[in-house]
Amino acid sequence: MAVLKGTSGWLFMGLLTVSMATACAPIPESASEEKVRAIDGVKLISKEITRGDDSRTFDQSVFTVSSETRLLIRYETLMSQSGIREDRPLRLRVYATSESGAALARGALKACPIIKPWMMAASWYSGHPWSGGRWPAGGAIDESSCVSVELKPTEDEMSKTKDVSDVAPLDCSEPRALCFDVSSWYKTWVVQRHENFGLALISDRPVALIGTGSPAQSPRIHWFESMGIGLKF
Amino acid sequence: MKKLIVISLFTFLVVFVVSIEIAYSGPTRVGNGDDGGDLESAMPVKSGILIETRDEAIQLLKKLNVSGVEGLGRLIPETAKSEIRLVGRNVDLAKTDASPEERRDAMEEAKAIGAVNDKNQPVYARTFPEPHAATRFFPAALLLERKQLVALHIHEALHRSLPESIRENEKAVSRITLALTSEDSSFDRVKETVSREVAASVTGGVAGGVNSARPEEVDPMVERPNVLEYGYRSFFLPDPDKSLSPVSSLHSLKSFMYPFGRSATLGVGIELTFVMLPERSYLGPVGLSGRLKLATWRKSDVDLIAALHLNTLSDGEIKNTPIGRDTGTIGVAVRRDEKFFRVENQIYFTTGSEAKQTLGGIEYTHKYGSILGARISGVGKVPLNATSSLEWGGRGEVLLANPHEVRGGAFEKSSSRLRVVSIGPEVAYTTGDLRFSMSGRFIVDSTEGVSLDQIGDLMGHGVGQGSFGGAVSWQF
Repeated sequence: MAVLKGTSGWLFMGLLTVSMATACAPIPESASEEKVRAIDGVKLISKEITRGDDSRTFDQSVFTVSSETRLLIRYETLMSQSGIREDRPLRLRVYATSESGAALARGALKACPIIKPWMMAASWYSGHPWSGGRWPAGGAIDESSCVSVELKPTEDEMSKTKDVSDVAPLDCSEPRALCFDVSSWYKTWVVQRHENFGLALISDRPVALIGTGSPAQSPRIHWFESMGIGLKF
Repeated sequence: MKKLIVISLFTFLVVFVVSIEIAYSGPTRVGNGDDGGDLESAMPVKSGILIETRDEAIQLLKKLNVSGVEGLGRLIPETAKSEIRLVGRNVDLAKTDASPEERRDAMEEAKAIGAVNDKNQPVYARTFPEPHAATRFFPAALLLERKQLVALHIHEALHRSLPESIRENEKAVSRITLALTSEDSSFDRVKETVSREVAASVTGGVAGGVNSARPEEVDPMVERPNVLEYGYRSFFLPDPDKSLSPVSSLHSLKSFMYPFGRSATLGVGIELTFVMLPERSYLGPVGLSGRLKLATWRKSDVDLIAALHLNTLSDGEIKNTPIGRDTGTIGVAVRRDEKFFRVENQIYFTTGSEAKQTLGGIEYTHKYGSILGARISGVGKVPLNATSSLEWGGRGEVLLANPHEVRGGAFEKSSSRLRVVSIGPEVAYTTGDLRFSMSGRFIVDSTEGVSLDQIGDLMGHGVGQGSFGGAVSWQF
């Protein structure tokens, strides 16, 4: 203790106290930032279109999803994105061409995981034209893991959550916007299996969706990234 | 079932080729018509005047730079490396004190070894009209002057080294020998003489008043080596969802010429293609090709073949397809073309390369592996009259290619090593300078799910499951 009798000793004690106080204080989780990217891989497969490279199956302003057509969607570079927070929702957002269409889609449209590789030359019967490319008619999808369109959150849900974006991002409140929470797909396929086969939008009733030919409202993917490095104790 | 077809066709090809060989086999033809029996008693010569005069002959030929004369490229090696043998040293036709019986016996022996001709005149030397054959000197040669022996060495070497169409023409060979050994000989004079004699033998005409020895066996490749051809191929496409190359057919215009002299040694060609897609036609790949005659072995031409297929010159619509890649091919072809049949074997290597295709904003890179190909083709010829003939036959081809890889966006696909076996018939009708042909090609066996699309050589192998087409060519 003789050491502490001097001025330098008191200074040391003071610094130690301050540092302990800082460490024990509640540190907020790092803030997250929502990222929105236009989806580049958007491909229609149809019973009627046999050629995979048919120009009607991509780069269109409107795609109609029905019992005889499906829309394959994949953000091609999702695997190479770092910092995506798995504790926050990852969403897919598409736009219907009309409000009535959106209303119809909310009950009919589903996003289902695709379970085989495919490319932009996919067709109703194959994911690609080479050996091993055949898949069941309409695509190889996991229908047991499909998710429906997220409904708009109730006021109760809004009041209970600490972050409104967890229940629905602002963009999803637009009348023609249709959002899917595909976090489960992301964790299962992208994080755990390291496979990015994307999702297929399916519907029994015809739903007209805006495609990549209309860039402003083409399909988007949303995720959250941490803004900085947070310390947790 | 496919394997059964392949085995049957292979058996047919083997039987076809073997039967042709048997039909054309026979006693070995010996130079100047003898049976070669004298070789048994021939004695190799290693020194003496025959060796000395051979060296003088080589010096003379080098001085005249005959290696630069078309048709004499192998004269110096044939002169220098031919084994010299002395035959019938004990046969003395000039013996003055011999009895009539002894003279008769000596003449019989001389005839038996070929030391005299049909008129019982002495022969100085003989050789087989084939490369690397020995030169047999007879006793009469030893009475010649050195200068005459030099000419004799050159004369016999010419029989072995000149083009086949002329090497057995005694008078033509004599005239070339004279051009080489006369006091005022020069490079230009030798070149002119050889050119004239070869041209006369090719056309079957007269040079210096002498008919060619074998005008009926003139190689058509030498006579009319240049070809202008229009061709059309229609492809058998697989199911639409199994192909990314919707090329339904291909038109081509090809010109292949031998511009360097009349010996048809080096030919170069150019080929333009027009590709038919479902909606319209586009300029397809441009081809450059070459063929260099390396040697002739046992009546078979051995050629070096090379080709470049350039898709970079195609229309953009074709370049933006999986098959829009450039290829380079090099190989060897062995070809035997006779009056009643033609057989050609090829083995070649095609380099790997890439093609890029953009679909819906995603760029895909198609990486093609190198290809090793082996092709056997054979046709039988049925002469209809002096100027026309009918040909029928076919070909079989095996392609082994390294894996085909496709990458783009999140998609990645790599095949295993590829195997494609194809066969096809060929029928042709030739009349005068025109040739009309039809041919087909069908895949009979391949790695599962593989078509010619994965080989990626539109001009060379086409696409889909094969093709059927025709061509009209003008030979000049």
